[in-house]
Amino acid sequence: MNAEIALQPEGGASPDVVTGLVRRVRSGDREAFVALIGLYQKKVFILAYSFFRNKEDAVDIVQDVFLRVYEKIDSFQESRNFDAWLIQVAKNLCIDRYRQFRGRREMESGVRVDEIPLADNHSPDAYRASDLKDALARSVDRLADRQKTIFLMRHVNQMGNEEIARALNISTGTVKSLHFKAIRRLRTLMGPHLGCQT
Amino acid sequence: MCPDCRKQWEDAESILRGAAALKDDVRKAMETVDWAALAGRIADTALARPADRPARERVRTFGTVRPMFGWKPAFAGALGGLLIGAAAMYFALRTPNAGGPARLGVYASGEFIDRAELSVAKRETIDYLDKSRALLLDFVQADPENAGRILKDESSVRRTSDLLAKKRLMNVHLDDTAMAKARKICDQIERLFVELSQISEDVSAVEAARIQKYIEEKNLLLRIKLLRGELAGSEV
Repeated sequence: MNAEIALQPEGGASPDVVTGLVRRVRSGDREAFVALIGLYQKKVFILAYSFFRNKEDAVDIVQDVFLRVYEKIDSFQESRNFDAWLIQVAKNLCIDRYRQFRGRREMESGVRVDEIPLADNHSPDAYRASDLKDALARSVDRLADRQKTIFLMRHVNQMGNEEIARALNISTGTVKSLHFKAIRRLRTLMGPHLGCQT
Repeated sequence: MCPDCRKQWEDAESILRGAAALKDDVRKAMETVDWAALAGRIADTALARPADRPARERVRTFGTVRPMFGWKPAFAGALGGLLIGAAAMYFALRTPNAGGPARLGVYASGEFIDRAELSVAKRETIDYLDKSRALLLDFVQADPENAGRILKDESSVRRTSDLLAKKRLMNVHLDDTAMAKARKICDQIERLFVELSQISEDVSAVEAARIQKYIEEKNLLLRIKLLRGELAGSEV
């Protein structure tokens, strides 16, 4: 496997190339669909993985997203941005699945997600970077859906504000505002952990 | 910067550093997926599905929704009225900020986050420059006869690979205008690492000497050092 996998889609094909592939997929061209998946599967995986932090769930989401894309490809308007459309499909599936996942996890453990401690805080000396990461991951779980999506798109998918705005069909100002609120909320949730850092 | 602002600044930086660490997990997970096989499998599954399935779903959806609103306008009107009334009551009677989290002092600007992100980007870039410089020094100081072997030992291969991956993660931050100068040098380093990662262990002494000379002629090590100092000096 390639050791230099980046958190970016493959290549970055031009809109014309993507439109050409979409047309061929509509006519049932398997190779075109494989190429289209190849262009975007990593981007979808990153978003899904950042939601579930589990490879199997993320791969499932990738499959479901592209099956949905194939089903809906006739309704895709070529005047629209394919990236944004795809990410919107992915985001919707992630949120739907995440709600089920969260409910299942709470039912199995008998503990609400909000009640799970952010980290085992045995001593300040034991505090490590991975603790910060784990605490952050659990805190991100507690964010409202839109804040969570924007935070993950921004920091894990490395999408810019404009790209996120297109994908979520909201204004750039709203993206910035929700991003800011996400950071503020995270700061509240992670307060004790942030305090004990050196 | 006042103590409160300093604390807020450090908290925001910590959160962004934690987010950067999340990316490492994603990258590791991505390395274990067989992407070519996955794309083929998805395409085969999609093409094997009955072609009329979506159409049937659409028909069923309209079949259930239309009678409700199309054949019973009185029911639809009553339902709409209830929803509008409930929304009006909500906006009229809600208490501002009731039960919400306590406000956090003067922490009130999106620009603040942008600056914190820039600060984290600078630290990431400094780390990248330090590691790159150390690796390039190992290569430049080596005897041309042994340079290829040094580059191809397990540790160097891993370091080169990690730096190439790190650079890709940094690209989005380097797009910031404040990082334009850093971007230029980091791109140059990246191109060099790509070239170094492709040369074979039995690279000729002449070829190794050519690359060593290129690094010296471009003053790459000096420029890395200067840029590092500049970034470190401009940190908040």
